[in-house]
Amino acid sequence: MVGPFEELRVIYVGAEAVVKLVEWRGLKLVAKVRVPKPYRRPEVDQQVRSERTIREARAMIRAKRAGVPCPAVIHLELSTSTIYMQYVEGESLRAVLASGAEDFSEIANGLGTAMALLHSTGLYHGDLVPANVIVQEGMTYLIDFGLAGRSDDVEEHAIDYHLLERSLTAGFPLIASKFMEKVREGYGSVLGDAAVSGLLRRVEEIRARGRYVERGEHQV
Amino acid sequence: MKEGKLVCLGIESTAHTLGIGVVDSSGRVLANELATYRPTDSGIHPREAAQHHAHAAPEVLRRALVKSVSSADEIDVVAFASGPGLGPCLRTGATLARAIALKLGRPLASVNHGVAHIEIGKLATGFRDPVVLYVAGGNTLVTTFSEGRYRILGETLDIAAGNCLDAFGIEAGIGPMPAPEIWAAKGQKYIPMPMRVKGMDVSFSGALTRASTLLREGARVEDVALSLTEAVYSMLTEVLERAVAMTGKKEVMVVGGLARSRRLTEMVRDMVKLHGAEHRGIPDELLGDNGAMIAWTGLLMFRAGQVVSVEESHVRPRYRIDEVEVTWLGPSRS
Ligand SMILES: Nc1ncnc2c1ncn2[C@@H]1O[C@H](COP(=O)(O)OP(=O)(O)O)[C@@H](O)[C@H]1O
Ligand SMILES: [Mg+2]
Repeated sequence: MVGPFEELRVIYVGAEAVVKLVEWRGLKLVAKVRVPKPYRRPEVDQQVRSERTIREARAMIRAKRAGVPCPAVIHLELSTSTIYMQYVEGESLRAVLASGAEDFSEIANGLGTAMALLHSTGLYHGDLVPANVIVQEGMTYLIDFGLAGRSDDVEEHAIDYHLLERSLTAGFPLIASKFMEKVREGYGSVLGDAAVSGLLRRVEEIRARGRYVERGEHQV
Repeated sequence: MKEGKLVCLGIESTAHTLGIGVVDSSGRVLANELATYRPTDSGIHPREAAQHHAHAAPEVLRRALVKSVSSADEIDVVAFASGPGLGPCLRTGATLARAIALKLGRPLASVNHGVAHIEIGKLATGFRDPVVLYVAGGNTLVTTFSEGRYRILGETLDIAAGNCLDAFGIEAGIGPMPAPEIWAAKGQKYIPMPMRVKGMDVSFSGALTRASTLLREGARVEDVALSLTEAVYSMLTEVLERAVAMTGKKEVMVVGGLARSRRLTEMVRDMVKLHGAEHRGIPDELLGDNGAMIAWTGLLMFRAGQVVSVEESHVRPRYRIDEVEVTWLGPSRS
């Protein structure tokens, strides 16, 4: 028996989960609860919530072991799809950028480093967007590993990069390219320039394929 | 330019459907005629489809004109869908549009097919700044307007949702949509499907493969249809939900042929309630590919001065919606 967890307040209500600040033996923790979605069939709902909860806890444990800045998993409660984890004080990258921060080089570089550490240990994040990065005194923590997985395939790593760039371009079009430049620097500082070019080549391929089609005129 | 209302004729020919619609600047659909190519086997053959469109064009055009205007002279603008779509089909529509524009001495508007689905949806719902799920045979994406463009928040990483369900239906021998959904209604048990969601992106090929395997292993078609449709719609609703939560926008619409799905509509309606948002439906005839949506978008573009010369009226088989500079909505609202 691990409890009791004392609930302090709800800090976030999102599309998928409710995040609460809780206290446990004098420590501040976060409880991330995946809530049932009434629009799904109960069996589908159960499948999605437990798959993601397990996936998230597993990926965070592996990532932490590889030195990726991310919350430590404290406890898992599958019956309610709840993960108890370390509370990371700070602001989301999305909030930081939305408040008009101009000095984001260090943050972007740190994010590139975190991403590279994650990839080098054979993991991908799967939902790498500014809202899933917490900035704490210049340190960048990755959170929200519910769509993460294990793969050494550059494809999955390239999708992380692609998602990050696309979500920055959509949300912060004016700084996106500068930001991504710093991300690449951070990535390269861990895995080397060759890894960066390999990653970018695959990003191009993904965009040129299927729905991610290339741009440009096809004069006929 | 004459006084009063402007009238635009729009031509849609990106895939199976040749559609010719006429819309006026008050948003009234005066005509929306179409002819649909039905391949003899499962696939779509671009050249055959283009031939179909070329054959059907005179009659569809005649019907559209008879219904909408007393003389072709009343048409102020000619619009055509320049992409995305199948090259030969696009060229057929573009050729027709150029001919009409030259004959009448009217300007041409080159319309992105996906943007047209959105604009006609906004006209039909009265929404001003919705989050949009665009789901059809060849397209699956979540988009919303921001900083002068429809930004793609999420899309499929492999096949389109409609394509996935059609391919399953054909393989199961029951035919494309809506057959899988009809069979799903008789399903009794859900068999877990891979549900691959990445951020706001989705992937359906894993679920399709699983469905094929189940069919080969002798699972009941009804149960597989149920499992696949539930999984696909759950994924779509989930990414749409993420977009609603992320943008905080309160208007939600689903456009494209698959938006006709009753089960998907039901899920989206249940979802928006959780976010204090509103979903509004769109009449079926404006959901599938049609000429009215091209006409209406052409009219919006024309009023904003966004016209092309005949020389510039290329077709663009891989035209993405976020390549379109949206000049007709005024300054960014988000
Ligand atoms: N370990 C944590 N420490 C501090 N805040 C957290 C932590 N985990 C989540 N949060 C807060 O909750 C929000 C949502 O968490 P997240 O895991 O991204 O859930 P979702 O899957 O709903 O996006 C985050 O943006 C952050 O503000
Ligand atoms: Mg998150």
